[in-house]
Order: sequence, then C-alpha cells, then structure tokens
Amino acid sequence: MWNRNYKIVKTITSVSFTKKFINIFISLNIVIIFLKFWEFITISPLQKNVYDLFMYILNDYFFVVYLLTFLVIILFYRFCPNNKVHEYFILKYRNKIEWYFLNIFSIFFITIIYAFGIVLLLILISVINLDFQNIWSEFAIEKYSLSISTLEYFSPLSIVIYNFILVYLYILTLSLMIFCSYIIFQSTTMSLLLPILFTIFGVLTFLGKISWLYPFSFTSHTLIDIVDFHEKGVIGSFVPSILYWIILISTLIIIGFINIKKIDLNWSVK
Amino acid sequence: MKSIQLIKSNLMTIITKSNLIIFLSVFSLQFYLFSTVYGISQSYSLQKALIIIYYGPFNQPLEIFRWLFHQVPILVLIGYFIDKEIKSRSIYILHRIGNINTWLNGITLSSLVCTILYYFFGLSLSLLLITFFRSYYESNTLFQNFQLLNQYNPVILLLHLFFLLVLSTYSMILIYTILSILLKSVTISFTILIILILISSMVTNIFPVVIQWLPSAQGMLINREYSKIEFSLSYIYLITLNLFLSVFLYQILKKQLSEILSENDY
Repeated sequence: MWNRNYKIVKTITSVSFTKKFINIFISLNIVIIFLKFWEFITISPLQKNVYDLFMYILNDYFFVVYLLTFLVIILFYRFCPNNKVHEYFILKYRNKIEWYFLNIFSIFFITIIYAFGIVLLLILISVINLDFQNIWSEFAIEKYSLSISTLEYFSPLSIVIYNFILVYLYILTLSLMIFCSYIIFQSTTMSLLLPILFTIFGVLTFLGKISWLYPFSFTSHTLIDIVDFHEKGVIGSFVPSILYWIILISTLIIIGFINIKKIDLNWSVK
Repeated sequence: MKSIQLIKSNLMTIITKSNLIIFLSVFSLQFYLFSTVYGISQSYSLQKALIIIYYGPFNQPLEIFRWLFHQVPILVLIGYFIDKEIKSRSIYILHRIGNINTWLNGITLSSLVCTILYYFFGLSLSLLLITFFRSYYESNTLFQNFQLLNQYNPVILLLHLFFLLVLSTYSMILIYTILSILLKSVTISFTILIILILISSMVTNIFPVVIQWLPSAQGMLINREYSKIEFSLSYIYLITLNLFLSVFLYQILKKQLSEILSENDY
C-alpha cells in the first residue's frame, strides 16, 4: 500500500514539473541565495559563522515575505491540477478523496525537498569560508546587542532549527493554500491571487505599523525575534507559532476536503 | 486615423468605472501608508510633499512594497488587457483593420497613453489629498538629507519624476508582455516580473554600480542619491530600451501570431 502510494506521489511530482522548469527554478533560487550571501559577506568585517548566514537569510523579512512567497507561487503554479494527466490519475483511484489526499502528500513531499534544498544550498555556499562551530559569533553579539550569557541560553543551532521549522510550515501553508483554493475556484489565477493577498495584508500591517493586526499575519509567526525569544522562551513564543500553523494547515485541509466532495473538477479550465 | 480610433477604443476598454475606483483606492491607500509612517509636514510646499511621497522606497529592499503598491495595478491591468487582446479579440480586430502593424502600434501606443494617464491621475489625486489632509508632524529629518530636493527646482524635479515613472513602468509593461507571450501564461510571467523587480531592488543595495542599467531602479529618484546618474542619460537609456523592447515584441508577436490564433481555433 505504502509502496504504491509512494510511487503515485512520485509520479504526480514528476508529471507536474518538467526538466526545463526545474532548471530555471533552481537557477533562480541559486541567483537569489548567492546575492543574499554576497550581501551577508560584505555587510560587516566581523567574524561570522554558518548559523549567522542561516539566520541572515531564513530570518530575513525581505527574503521570507517577498522572495520566498513568490518563489513558492511559481513552484506550485505548475502543481495546480489543470494538467490533463490528473484526469487519468483520478480514474485510477477508487475515489476523489483518495486522489485529494495523495495530492496533499505530494505537496508535503515537494515542500520538504524544496526546504531542504535551500538548506543544502546554504551549506554548500558556506563550506569554503564559514565556521561550523556551534557558538555565538562576534557578528551575532553585535547584531542582537545582547550579552553572551543571555545569548548562551540557546545555542545558535537550536535557534536555526526553530526558525527552519517555522519557515517550512510557512512554505507548506502557502502551497496548501494554492492547492485548496484551486479546488474551490477552479482557476489558477484566483488560486495564485489568494496567497498574494495574504502577503499584502501582512506587509500592510507591518509597514503601516498596525500593531493589533500584526499577530494575525504570517510573518509574525515565521520570523524569530531573538530578544523576544529569550524573554518568553520556547513555550512562550515558539509553541504558539507552531499551534497557529497547525490550526491553519488543518483548516485548509478540511476546507479542501469538504469542497472536493461537492465539486466536479473541470479539466478544460486553464 | 484608424490607429487613433483603435487607441480610443483600447483606452475605453482599459479605463472603466470599476478600474477608476481601483486607481482611486490605490493612490489614496498609498497616501495613507506614507502619511501614517512618515508624516507630511506643513512646512513643505505642495510640489515638494508630492515628490517626497514618490521619491522611492527609503529603506531599499524592505519598503519596495510601498513602491510596488502603485506600480502593480497598472502592470496587471495592461498585462491582462494585452493578453486578452492577443488571445481572444485579435481575430475580430485584425479582420476589421486588415493590417498587423496598425494593430500592434495601437496596442503598444495605447498602453503608453494609459500609463501616462494613470500616473497623471495618481499624482494629481495625491496632490489633492496633500492639500486637504496634510498633518502637523514635525518634518522628518530623513527628507532633509535628500540632495535632489535642494538641488533642483521642485516643479522641474516633479516633471522628471513623472516622466521617469512613466518610462520605467512602460518598460516593465513591455517586459511583462514579452514574458507572457514566451511563457504563454500571464499569471506566471507576472510573478516572475515581480521577482525580477525584487532582485533588482536587492542588487541596488549590494552593487550600486548596476543601478543605471536596471529599468525598475531608474524610476526611483532615491537611487540617484547613491550613484550620480544624469537625468538626460537615463532618458536616453529608457527610451532606447523601450524602443528595443517594442521591436522585440513586434518580432515575437509576428512569429507567434499564427500559433496563437490557431490555438484559439477550437
């Protein structure tokens, strides 16, 4: 059973992405990450390590909100089941619900590959000239302006892992949002518009300094504020964010599940 | 005569009542966003206050959204209009006109005219909003460091701002159209265009030398603070780029027109 499902997930993934698309997408990611890396290297002459690079890129408002959102949209535009092959897939399964859940698993699969791909790229870039020791660097101490004793309460690796989990959940939520809204609206434009609208909402609350709305936006639960993290600890700041994402993801899956039963998928829609 | 009629009809399809409401809300929100964050002091003249609002994103990569906020609606509108024009209306209109060149001229010229009208409308609306809702904030120290504001006559600087905005947005529209024809999808080419704009705003921070070669960065006056670019040079660059892009668009469209037309022929 598992073997069959794994094979189908693999087929769905390979059907959705052509080789040309993957090449273009990977090169776009490499260009963006290389530019960010260049910015990181030239920003200050202080000693830095690989965890600073991770924090600099994955905990950066510009990278996560602007670039990552649009990159995920480009990635999952190909995944939207307007491909005629899905018609064949749906005939192969027992019912639409099984097809729906296999698509959700494929989304999990693709997002994990993408998130770990970014991590691999960052490690590959930093192998040559950055230190891998798990200590707070001079750069971090100056950037967060905290004493070493307070900073050492958490190791840099643990902060990077917390941040990575949140960024992964952000990518997963965006991709599920695209897929579920495709099922509801049956139009690629509408499904891509929804995550953009949510991003605009988040940016408006951030730039307009609307502080009472900001906790509801995606970014407040993706980016880690180190000072805040030290004050509240893991239970005070990390757990609520995880709960926020879990609630969002489960509501999206439930909404898709309710709608897939009602709707006839129209394959001619482009 | 035919092309003027064509431009007129194209403009009628783009500028509808609902679109006008969208423009109105976009520019009012733009004004609201700016005035809540920075505040517009009464000590500035009207022209100076208007220039400051459209000076560019002060905190380059992070605030790019404030810049995209007024650029994206016109990009989306004209992008979708051109896509519709090519994919569904071309059969009818080409038959009526009987000449591909006139039709293509009509599309490119009407999108230029529309961009000019959009920014003229937007800037005059912002001017109106400034006159009525100027707050009593202290003047922000950030604005006093702007060299261009002290160097140029505000009216001339405003004219520069307007023309640069129009030309850089128009070049973006052309790139968008070319992308959408090559990739055969408006939505995905729009996303790629936004990523290109974001990358170019990131690059301006890292390599300031490149600024003068990026069409999206040319429209922002703030970039002229970091690297000294002459206005005349950027006009020459933008106009040649636009001409080159429109010639390229003509070539692609002529090549792919038969393909596009046959695709719709179910």
